[in-house]
Amino acid sequence: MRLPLLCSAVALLAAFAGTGCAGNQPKPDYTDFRMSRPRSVLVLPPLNNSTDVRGTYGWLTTVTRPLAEMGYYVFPIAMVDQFLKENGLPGPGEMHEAPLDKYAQVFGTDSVLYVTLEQYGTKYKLLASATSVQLKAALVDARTGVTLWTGQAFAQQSGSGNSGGGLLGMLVEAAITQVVDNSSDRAHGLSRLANNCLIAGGTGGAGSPAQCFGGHAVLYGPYRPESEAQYEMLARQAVSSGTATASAGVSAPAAAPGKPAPAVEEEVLRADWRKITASSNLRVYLSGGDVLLGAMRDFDGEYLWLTLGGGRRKAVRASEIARVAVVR
Amino acid sequence: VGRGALALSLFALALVAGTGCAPQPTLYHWGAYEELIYESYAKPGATPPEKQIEKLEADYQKARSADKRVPPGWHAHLGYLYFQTGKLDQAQQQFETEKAQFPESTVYMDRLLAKFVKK
Repeated sequence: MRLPLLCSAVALLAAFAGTGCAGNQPKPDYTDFRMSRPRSVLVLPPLNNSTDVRGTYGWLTTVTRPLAEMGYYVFPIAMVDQFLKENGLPGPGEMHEAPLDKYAQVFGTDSVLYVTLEQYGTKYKLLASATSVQLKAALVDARTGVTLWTGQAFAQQSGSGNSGGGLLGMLVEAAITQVVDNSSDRAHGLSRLANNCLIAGGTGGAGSPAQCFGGHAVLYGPYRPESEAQYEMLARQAVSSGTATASAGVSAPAAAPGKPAPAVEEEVLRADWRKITASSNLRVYLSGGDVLLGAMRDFDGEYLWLTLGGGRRKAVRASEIARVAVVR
Repeated sequence: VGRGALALSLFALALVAGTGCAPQPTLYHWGAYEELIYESYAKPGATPPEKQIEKLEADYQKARSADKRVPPGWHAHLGYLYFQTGKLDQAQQQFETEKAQFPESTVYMDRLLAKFVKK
């Protein structure tokens, strides 16, 4: 017997949804992502603003694969969920509110992925149905709290109901579909497409089952062989476009335009980083080629903490630092 | 400017080619891992842990014969199922394997393994 659910022509639509995706998106800025270079991701169960309570786990159980295939270590979602529940966080709301450094401490994760489901589920009209998944996501550095990446995706799948069987056939088909859908969650399947779009940056395109907007892929993680080349390319790009200093810079000691800064640099060997006086002006040369200008806050043995322009705080892994100089 | 534009377009190309449309070989053998977890949420109790272990162990054989790794979290999750069935030795072994395969899990696995030492 023909399965109407599978055989019915599936029209897939995508549309702008939400307000955050204006047409002219700025070029994705991977600066913070690059500086953090996370190896692992802890995915929290999503906040679910949809009307379908199945969304939380229907979605959560589709996120490991695309993230892991992008090269990240992904903590086992069901264990994490259970662990958090047993430790006083009964649901996604509490989990999203919990202090970030706890996640770093308890799981040793480099980053935490926060997701909110805006839409999840299937709506039925007379003869057809529309399944949609819409979500937004933020990847946050678990140690510094810096947001490394945000993305959103929207995917919709419509059952056309056109089986060629005339009105009666369509009615029967709609009824069967509805029965089937009461036990099987179609948005769960569609979540895979939405996630692939969100995380791997698929753009959908003509004939593609899902499209996403306002999103760009996460960078490759350490288990993807392409990762090294991607990070190198981004570092070179940052140097050649000058964003390395422009985006992060505390203004260097006053220099007349066009003339070299009168600053004097004095390199500090790693063994002496702890001795640098707090709020000294530093130039931190990263092994990737970037240079950060900032004020010294602290060095904890693993991370050098800086205050950048605008009071923004940043932690830089010592292993990514080529040399450090105090600017006088 | 020319070099920058070139680098930029190369980068865009790499992003499209690398992450977008072109099919890539998967890093891992996925088997039933995600769907078993989904089932355990959607229909709690429908598939007992013993049955889930059986399916995962069968997947592991398939992964080995295809010369592929199992995904991050997989060994930990299997260990968690063994733990639920009271097979503590196997649980411990799986947590150790997770840690060896993916050092990123060290802090979490050590936290779990510490409970075994006490016993």
